[in-house]
Amino acid sequence: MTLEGLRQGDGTDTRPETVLKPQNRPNRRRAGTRLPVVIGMAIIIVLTVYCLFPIYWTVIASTKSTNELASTSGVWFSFPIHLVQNIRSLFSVDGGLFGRWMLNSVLYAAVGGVGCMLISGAAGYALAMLRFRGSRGASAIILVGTMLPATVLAFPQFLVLTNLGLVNTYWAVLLPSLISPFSVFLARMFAIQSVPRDLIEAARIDGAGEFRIARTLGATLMAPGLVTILLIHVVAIWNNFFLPLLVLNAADKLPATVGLYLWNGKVTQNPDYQSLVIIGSLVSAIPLIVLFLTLQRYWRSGLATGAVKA
Amino acid sequence: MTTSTATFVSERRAAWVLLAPLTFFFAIFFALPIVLAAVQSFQETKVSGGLGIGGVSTVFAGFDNYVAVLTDGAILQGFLRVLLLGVIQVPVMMAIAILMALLFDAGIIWGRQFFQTAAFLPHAIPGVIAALIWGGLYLPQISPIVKGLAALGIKADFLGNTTVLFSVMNITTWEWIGYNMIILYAALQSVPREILESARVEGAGGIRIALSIKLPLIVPALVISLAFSIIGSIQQFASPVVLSTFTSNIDSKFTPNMAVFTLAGGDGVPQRAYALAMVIALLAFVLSFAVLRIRDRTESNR
Repeated sequence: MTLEGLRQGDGTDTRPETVLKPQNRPNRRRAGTRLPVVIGMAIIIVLTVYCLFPIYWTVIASTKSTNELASTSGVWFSFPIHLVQNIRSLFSVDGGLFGRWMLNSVLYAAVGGVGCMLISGAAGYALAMLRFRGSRGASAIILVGTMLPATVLAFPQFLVLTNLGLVNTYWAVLLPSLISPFSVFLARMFAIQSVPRDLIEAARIDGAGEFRIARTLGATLMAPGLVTILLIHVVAIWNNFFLPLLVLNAADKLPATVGLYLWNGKVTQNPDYQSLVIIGSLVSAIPLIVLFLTLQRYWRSGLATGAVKA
Repeated sequence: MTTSTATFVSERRAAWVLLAPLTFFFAIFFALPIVLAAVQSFQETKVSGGLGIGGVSTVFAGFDNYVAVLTDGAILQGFLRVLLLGVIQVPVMMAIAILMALLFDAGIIWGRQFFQTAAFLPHAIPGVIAALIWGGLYLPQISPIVKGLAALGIKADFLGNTTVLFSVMNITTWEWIGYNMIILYAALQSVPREILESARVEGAGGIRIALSIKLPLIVPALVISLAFSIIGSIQQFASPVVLSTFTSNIDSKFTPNMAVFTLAGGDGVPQRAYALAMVIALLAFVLSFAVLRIRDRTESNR
C-alpha cells in the first residue's frame, strides 16, 4: 500500500482518466444488478440514519424548553420554537459564562493550533530535508512519541505545571498543546512528499541561505500539508478534556467542553441546565462542523497519511 | 569539496535552529513529565514521627505502587472493561466500516459523497459533546429512543448496571465508524484496477471479488485501523466520565484512565496514579510495536 495510492482515494477522485471510475465499472452493467444496488443502498441509508440521528435530535431538542424536552416527542419540533430563548439563556446564565468558555476554546484552539503548526512545520522540514547528525534518532523519538497516549501524559504534565506555578492559568492548557508528535510526524511526511530535493539544491547553488529556502520554498510547498496539521490539531485541542479538567479549576478559564460537562453534573439539582447543555452542545460543535465541511479535503488527506503512520 | 562541507555545516546549523522550539517544549512537556512520573511511581510519602508532628518524607517504595494498583479490584475491572471494548466494540465497528467501504468502492451507491460525509460527520463532534448528546438519548425522561421503544412495549434501560458499558461502546462506534470507513475506502481505491478487471473476466461476482480479492489486499490498512482502535480503547476516558453525570452505574475507576484521574485527585495517592499511567503507557507501547511487527510481516508477504 503506497501513500500515493491512499491519497488518491481522498474522495476527490483524482485517479487518472484511464482508470475506470466506479460508476463505469462493469459490475454495474452485469445482468440483475438491481438487487445489490437496492440492498447496498438500504444498508447505507440505515447506517446514515444512525450517524445523523443524534445530530438531528440535538437540533430538534435545542428548540425546546426544558418542560417540552420531557413532555413532547423528541423527533419533531414543538411550537412555538424556543431556539432564540434557549440561545439567549445559554449566553446569559451564570453571568454569561458560556460565552467566556467559547472564547476560551477559540483561544486555546487558535493559539495552540497555529503555534503547533509552526513548531511542527519547522521541525518536520528539518527532519525531512536537512542533513545533520541525529536526524534519524530524532525522527525515531517522534515516532515513539506518537504512540504515547495523550491521556497518560496529562497527569505527569500536571506535575510539571504545578512546579512551574502555572496551574489554573491559560498557560497550563496552551503550553502543552504546542507540541504534538503526530503533527511533527505529519509535517515530515508532507515535506518528503511535497518539497523536491533538486529544487532545494538548485536554490543552494543560487546562493540562497538555508532559512530563506525553508521560509520561501519549504513553507510554500508544504502549505496544504500545514493546513491539514492546523486543522487536525485545532480539533484535538477543542476535544481536549483530561488536561483542562486536571489543571483548571477556575470556571472562567475552562474550555466549552469541560464547562458543559460541569453543567451537566448540575442537572439533577436544577433541571433547567438540561436544555442549556443541549443547546450548548450544539453551539460548541458548530465551529468544528463548519471547519469539517469547508475543509474536508485537508482533513481526509491527513487521514490518508495518518493511516500509513508508524 | 569546500562548498559541500560549507553547505553541510549551514544545513546542520539551520536544522538545529528549526528544531529548537520543538526540542524546548518537548523536553519540558513530554520528556520531563515522563521521567518525573516514572521516578514518582517508585516512591511513597511517609509521615515520620506519627500523628503528623514529624515531617513528611519521600522514600523509595520499589514496586509497591504498581502492586497496589494492579491488585485493586476496581482497577482490574476497569482493565477488563477496556478489554471487552477491544474484543466486542472494535470488531463490530470495523465490520460495519468495512461493509460501508466495500459498498462505496463497489460503485453501487448513489450520492456517495453525501453518504460518506454523513458517516464522517460524527467524527467532527468533540468527544465530550458526543457523550453529552448520547447521554440525552439514553436518558429515559427525554430520550426519543427510550420513549419510542416503550411505545412498542420494549422497556429499554441504556444506563443500567450492565448495559451502560455497551452504551459507552456505542458512543465510540458512532464517533469512529466514518473515520475508519474513510481510511479503508482509501485503501480499497488503491487496489489496482487491472486485478479486479481480470477477476471479472474470469467471471467472479461482486461479492466474491470483495471477499477474496479486495479484502486480502487491504489487510495492512485493516490491521493498522484495528490496532489503533484497540489502543484507543485502553485510553477510554471522556465518554464514561461524561456518562457518569447521567447515571450512578459508572464508578470512579470505570476505565484505567478514569482510575488515574481518581487517584490523582484530592484524596487519592498520586504516586499510584503515576504507576497506573506508566502501566497504561507500557500497554500502549507494547500494542503499538506489535502492530508494527504485524504490519511489516503482512507487507513483506505481499
